[in-house]
Amino acid sequence: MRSSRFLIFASLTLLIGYLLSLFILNPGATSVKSNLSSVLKCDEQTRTGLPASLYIEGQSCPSVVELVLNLQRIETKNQAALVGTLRVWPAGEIGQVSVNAGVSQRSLRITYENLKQSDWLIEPKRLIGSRTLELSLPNRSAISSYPLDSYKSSWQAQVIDFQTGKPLPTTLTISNRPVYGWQISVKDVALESDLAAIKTVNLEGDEKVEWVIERSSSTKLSSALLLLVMLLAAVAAIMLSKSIFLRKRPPTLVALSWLATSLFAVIEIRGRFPDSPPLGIRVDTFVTYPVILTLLFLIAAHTYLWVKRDDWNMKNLPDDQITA
Amino acid sequence: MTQKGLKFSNVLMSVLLLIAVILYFGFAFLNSGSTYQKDEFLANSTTEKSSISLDINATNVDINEGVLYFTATPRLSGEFGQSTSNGSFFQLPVVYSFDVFSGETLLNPGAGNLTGGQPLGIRIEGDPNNYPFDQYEGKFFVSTRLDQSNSDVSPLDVNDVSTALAGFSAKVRYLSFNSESPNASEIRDDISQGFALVEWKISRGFSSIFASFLLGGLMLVGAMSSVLLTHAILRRRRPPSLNSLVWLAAFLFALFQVRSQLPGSPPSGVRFDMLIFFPTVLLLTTLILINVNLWINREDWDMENTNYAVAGRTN
Repeated sequence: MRSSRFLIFASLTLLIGYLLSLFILNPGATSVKSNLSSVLKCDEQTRTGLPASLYIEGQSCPSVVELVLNLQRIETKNQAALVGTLRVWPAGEIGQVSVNAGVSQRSLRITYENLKQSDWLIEPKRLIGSRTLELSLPNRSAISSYPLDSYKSSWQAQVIDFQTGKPLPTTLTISNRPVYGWQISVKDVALESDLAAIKTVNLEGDEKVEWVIERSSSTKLSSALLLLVMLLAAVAAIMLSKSIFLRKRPPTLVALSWLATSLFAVIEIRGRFPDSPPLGIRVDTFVTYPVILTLLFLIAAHTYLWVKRDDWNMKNLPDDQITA
Repeated sequence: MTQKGLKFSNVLMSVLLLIAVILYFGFAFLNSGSTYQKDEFLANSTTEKSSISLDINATNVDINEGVLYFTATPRLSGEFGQSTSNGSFFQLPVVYSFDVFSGETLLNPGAGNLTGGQPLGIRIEGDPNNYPFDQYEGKFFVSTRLDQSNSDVSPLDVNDVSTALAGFSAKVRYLSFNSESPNASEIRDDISQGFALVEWKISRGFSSIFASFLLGGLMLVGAMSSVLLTHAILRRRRPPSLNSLVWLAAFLFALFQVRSQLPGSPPSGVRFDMLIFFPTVLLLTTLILINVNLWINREDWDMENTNYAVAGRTN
C-alpha cells in the first residue's frame, strides 16, 4: 500500500507542477525588436535622425520603401523551410499605403532571397500585392533532435528604382505575430549604410535580417508529456508481466487484451506529437521503438505463458466460497 | 436515503435536465440562423440598370496562417457589361483593384472579355490559442475605375453572397475608408466614388463551440469516472482487476481519437490541450500505474462478486 500512496503523491505533485507550468508556457512567439516590428509612422518622432532629403514639402512621410515581412509557418517534413509573405509599402513621394498593400508612384525592382522567384518588378500606380517567401533552413537534419530542434537562417533584399537603377531608401518591418508552435528570435543585421533612427533606414536599399527558430515551450512540454505517457505505459506493462512471470498472478486473456490496447494507444500517441515529426527521429530510437518492442515482447511472452501454464485464466475466488 | 429524499432528488434531477434541454435548444435555435451576418449595404444589391458590382463569397478561414480566403466575382450590367452564371462579360474596360494579402491585386481583362471569380485572401489577426473562443478580424479594400480617358467615376456596389463559413460565425460590414467607422453617409460617399472597405469579424460557430465542450466534457467525465473507479479500489470497496485496467487503456486510446475529432482541427498545444487533454492523459496513465500496482500487490485481485453477496447464503 505504501507504493500506491507514493504513486498517488507523485502523480499529484506531477499534476500540480504541470498546472503551475501552464502559467509560463508559450504556445508560440516571434520576438522582434520594437524598431523592427513597428511600422513606419509619419510623425515628428520618426523624423528624428532621418535626413531632410527624405522629406518633400507637404508630405509628413519620409520617401522610403518599407518591406513588410510576415512569417507564416515552418515546414520540417520534406525540406526544412520558413514560409512567409513579403509586402511592399512605399511612402512619401515613392507611394502610399492602403489596408493590406501599398501603391507605388514609380516602377520598383525588389531583389530578395527566395527558393523560387527572387525578382519582383512593381508597376507604378496600382495596388501592390504580395509575394510568398520560401526560405530554406540549412540545418535540415535538426529535426532528428525533435522537440529540441533549432534552425538558424538569414534573409536579405534590395530595393532599386527600376527606371534609374538607383537604390531607394528602405526600411524593414517584421510582424511579431506568433507562428504557432514555434519560438522565433529575429535580429536585424547592421549594415554600413544604415541610418540609426526610431525606425532604421538603409539609404542603399539593402536589408538583412537573421533568425533563430526553435520549438515553443508548449510544444516541448506536450512532446515531453506524450513521451512520459509512453514510458509509463511500458513500465505498467512490465510491472504486470513481472508478477505473472513470477507466478504471483496467472496468465489471462484479459491481461493480453490490456497489453494489446496499450500497444495501440502507444502508436496513437506517437501520431499525436505536435507538428507530426517524421518517424525515425531520435525520440523514436530512444523511446517509441523500445516501448513498442517491449510491449510486443510482453505480448508474445504472455501468449506463450497462457498456452503453457496450468494456471491460465485462473480465478481468485473468495475464501468462503471455496469452503462452502 | 429516505423515500421522500429520493423523490425530491429525482424531481430536482428532472427539473435540471429539463432546464438543460430548454437552454440547449433555445441557444441552438437563436444561434443556428445567425452564423453569417452582413450589414444592409452588403446584403442588398443595387437597383441601378447600369452598374459595376462585386460579389464576394467567403470560402475558408486558415487559422494557422491567419488568412481568410474568398472569391471576388465581378458583376456588370448595362453599358459596363453583362453578368453571366460564373462571372461577367466586360463591354467597357472596367478595372478592379484589390487590396489583398494573397491573390492578384489587379483585374483588368479589357473590353470584350469574359472573366470569372478571383480567389483572394486577406490577413486576419487573432490567436488560435483561445480555441474554441478564438476570434479573428480582417479588412478588404477594393476600388474600380474605367481604363479609358475622360471617364467619370462610377459607383461600386459590393455584395456579400456568402451563406456560411463552415464552423465559424462571421459578422461582415462596410466601413468608411477614411474614418474606418460604419458611418452610413461616409460609406455612401465611398460607394459613389467607386471604392469600398469591408471588415470581417470571425469567431467559432455555436455548433463548433458546443462540440468542443461536448468532447472536452467527455474527456473530463471519463477522467472523473476513472478516478472514482480507482478510488473505490484503493478504499477496498472493489477489487483491483484486469478488466478495469483494460477499461483505462481503452479510454486512453479513445482519448486521442476524441481529440482528433475537435471541430476545426485546432493545432496541438492550444489552451484546450493544456487544460483538459494533456492533464487527462497524464491522469489516466497514473491511474493505470496505480491499478497495476494494486492488482499485483493485493490479495483480492480479480475477485468476483458472488451471487450470495447480494442474495445472502442459502446454506
